[in-house]
Amino acid sequence: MTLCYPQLSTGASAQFPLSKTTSTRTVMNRLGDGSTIRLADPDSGSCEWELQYRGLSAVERTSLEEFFKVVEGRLLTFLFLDPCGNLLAWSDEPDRADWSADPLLRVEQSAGITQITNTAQTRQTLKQSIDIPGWNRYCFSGQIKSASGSPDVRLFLENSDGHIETSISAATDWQQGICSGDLEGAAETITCGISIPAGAVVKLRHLQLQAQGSASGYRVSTSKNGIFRKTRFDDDTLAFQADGIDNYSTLIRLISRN
Amino acid sequence: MTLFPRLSTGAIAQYPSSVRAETSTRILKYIDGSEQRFRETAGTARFWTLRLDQVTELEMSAMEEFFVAQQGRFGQFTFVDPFDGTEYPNCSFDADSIRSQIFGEDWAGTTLTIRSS
Repeated sequence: MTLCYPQLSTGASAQFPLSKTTSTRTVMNRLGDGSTIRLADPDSGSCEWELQYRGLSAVERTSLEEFFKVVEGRLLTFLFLDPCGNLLAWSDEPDRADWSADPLLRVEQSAGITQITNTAQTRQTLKQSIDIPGWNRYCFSGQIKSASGSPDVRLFLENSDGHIETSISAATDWQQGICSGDLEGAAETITCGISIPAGAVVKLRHLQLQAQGSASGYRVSTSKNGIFRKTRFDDDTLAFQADGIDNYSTLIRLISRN
Repeated sequence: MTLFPRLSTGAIAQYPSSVRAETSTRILKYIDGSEQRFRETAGTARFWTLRLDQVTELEMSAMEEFFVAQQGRFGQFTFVDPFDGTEYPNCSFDADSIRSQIFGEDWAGTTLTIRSS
């Protein structure tokens, strides 16, 4: 089973406020006349998160401590699903290879808006599968509209252990569709997607997958998404403060290579 | 040349933001109190510190994408002075890292420093 940073009881992995620092490295020589010679070092990029937790229960505290012990502080790396990120690849471009569309579903993309047209006699699906733990809580969301017919658009999450879906009647104005939940089991993949009925023409935008219970503000993703597979703790100490009965707080710093 | 991205309102920055001009002068002081001064760099560099305290997550991710595309201090772009609208080519980020803070639901912030050559 993949070592993955644990979620809290709410399904989120972080609380507000949190911060994320994205770093690169540039070697710079400044000459006598003030001009510079620069060399980028693209392989040395990193991301760091500062996660402040308050009001943790004893169960949540134990979960974080046990995880810390398993990875032995800074020693081992693990999978971290960025709470500030969109887990989809190419969220604005479903015509890319990371997405798969059923054979009779036409996908056209322009300026961040995707139009999908079902030319078949049965429902057709546009989906993306991602190699991340299927047992976490996820929220797949997107904005949907249709010029006519109020087609029954379904958003779903599935893996080999189960399937969750929600239904939305697409209107002429943009509406937010959300499919959220967790699937039991030990599958190491999650698939999210949208299906539309025969003959439907639907417009989509702001497709987003997040490892939490509900949708946050949309973040566009490209080849780089919110999945960091070589993250580690940035400290060999994990300390909790007891602020009350069943009430703990802590600050955790994580670091990952890009 | 690439343009520094604008927020959804069309603005470059939010209040309070600041601008400064910087030169570099080496001063040698002598026992008699006199000085010898000379320039260490040619010209005056201009720095803008942009505080973006209330941006959406979409605007924040666009800024991060732009920073990564520029590879921090490496890349150069055209920056429009938010105070007077003057275009400055050959500007760059003044740091190799960008720190984003998420304060709440769809509420993020960051502080960036841009330098003109």
